[in-house]
Amino acid sequence: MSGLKEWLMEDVSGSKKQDSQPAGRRNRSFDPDSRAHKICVNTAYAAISIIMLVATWYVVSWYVNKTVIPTPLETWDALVDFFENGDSTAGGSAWSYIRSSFGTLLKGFLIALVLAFPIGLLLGSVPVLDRLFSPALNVLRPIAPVAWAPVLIILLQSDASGAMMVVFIGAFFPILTTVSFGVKKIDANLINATKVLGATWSQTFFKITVPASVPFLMNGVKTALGIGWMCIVSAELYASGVGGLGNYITNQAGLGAWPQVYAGIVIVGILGLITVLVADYVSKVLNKKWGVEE
Amino acid sequence: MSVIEWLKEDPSANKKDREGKKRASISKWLKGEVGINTEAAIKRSFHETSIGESDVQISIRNIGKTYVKNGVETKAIDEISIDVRKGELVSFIGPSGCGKTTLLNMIAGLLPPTSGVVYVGSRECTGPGRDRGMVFQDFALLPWRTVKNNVELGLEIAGVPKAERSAKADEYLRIVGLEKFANSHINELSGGMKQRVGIARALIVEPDVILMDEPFGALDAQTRNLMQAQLIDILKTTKQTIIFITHSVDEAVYLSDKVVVLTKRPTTVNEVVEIPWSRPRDRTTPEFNEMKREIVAYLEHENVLVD
Repeated sequence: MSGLKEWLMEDVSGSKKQDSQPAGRRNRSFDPDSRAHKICVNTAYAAISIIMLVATWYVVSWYVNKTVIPTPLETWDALVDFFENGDSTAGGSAWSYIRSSFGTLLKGFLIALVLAFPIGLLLGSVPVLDRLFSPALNVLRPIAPVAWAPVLIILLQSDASGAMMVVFIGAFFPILTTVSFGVKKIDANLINATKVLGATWSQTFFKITVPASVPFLMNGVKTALGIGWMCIVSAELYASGVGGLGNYITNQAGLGAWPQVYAGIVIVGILGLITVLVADYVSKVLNKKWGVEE
Repeated sequence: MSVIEWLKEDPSANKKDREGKKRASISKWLKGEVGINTEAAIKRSFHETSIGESDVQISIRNIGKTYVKNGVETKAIDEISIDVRKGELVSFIGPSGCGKTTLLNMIAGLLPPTSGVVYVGSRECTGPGRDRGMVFQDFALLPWRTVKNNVELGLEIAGVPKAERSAKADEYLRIVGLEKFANSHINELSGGMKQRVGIARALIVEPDVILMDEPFGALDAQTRNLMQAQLIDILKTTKQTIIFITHSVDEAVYLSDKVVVLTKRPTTVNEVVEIPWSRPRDRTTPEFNEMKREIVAYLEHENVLVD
């Protein structure tokens, strides 16, 4: 496992100087510049942060309302029970609920991505289109996605599609805004450089504008995914047939089974976190290639 | 007697006598055909030749730029005319803010001039094109592409097939000394290397002229001197015509066949200094410094605070 050892010992401090630490400290078995050190420190901070959160939760639960706000331990028990035995009332395993919500999120997000990216590119690069469509979009943007839910469900005659469209609306605007903003921020000299090489407008668009907008797109994607998860619970409020985590939370709340409600909330929170972390990782990899400074 | 000298005799183009009438109609023709104002024609330096003459590659005629803001006209550039021969390196030098970049952008076709025309050979230019390439002070390279893909960009745009593109890119990478870095990414390179990529990118499409906007301005002094020497080497191989903007008199004297000294706003040609020496040149000789002194004298005359 020498490869792992080397990887852990790699200097990730990013400091330009040869020796950012005095020799004595560096030669001890735990070099502060190494990746192993960085991983340990980051994990420690995360652990302390979560412990503080759980502690606060306990305090709130005991002093505010022990029934409606169950303790972390009760929530944990409900969570474990949910995964082992599934939903006691409506049936279905925890994983089926997770799969359902995740599916809704992904579908809504992908449609938003496929539509918002090109439209954002065009709005950013063709001023006439921007002036034509921006006012209307600015009127639509502040409307909470869930406000569209009842209309969409009736129109599409499907709970699943309705929920997916709510996620779509939530994810659409962040991507559109960041992409069209980003296009305007592209270095004018990059465009000029292609013009003096004899490029047509469409060559400039596809060879420069589209690739140059990727870092901005990734920012929009991260925001869109976060908002998407926030929309899931409210989207599923109206879409009772979907069988997702939002439905689970609402049903259990209706039964007064508060530990189960919070278990559902915790799952949504963790899934949202994982999604954004993955997007963040992809974003970092791309930024490195594009030479965007951290 | 040339037309210009004949016009010089009586610039007012008096219409009363027959010769006056001839002058008036020729002045009118000149103005209509090629936008030449006879007063400006007389002011022009003797360095000009006819448009389309055999070894003249670029002709800039009466290029001017006037900005209008809130109804107030500001003349940024006032009728600049200059000719550049094939294989020449012509520098433009002038006080800060005199609009050198604006001038370059107009020659490149990126900015429309308010007056005047740019000719490549005898062809009038109306917009940007492959015949006038450009090298930028901040490099303007594409960070998501490798060095080789950046250099190939112009050929890609022109639709040259892959194999041929690749071979030519290798050749030009060798000319600028970056053949080992063909597959590196742009952000792995130093400033000097990045500019060499920019130069290779401009050279590969073999334009009639390369416009360089203070290409070494973002580099440190040592790299700058190295790049100047390297540019001279490259020119020995490619014999490329270059129009070069700089703030450094030393750089202008080191590199150029001709130095065009510009005035402050409204900018026009103050003086054109010929430097008929071979390259590479020795910075330490008295002649070199005498030339620098001459140019600095023209510049100092202009370097009162720009209004």
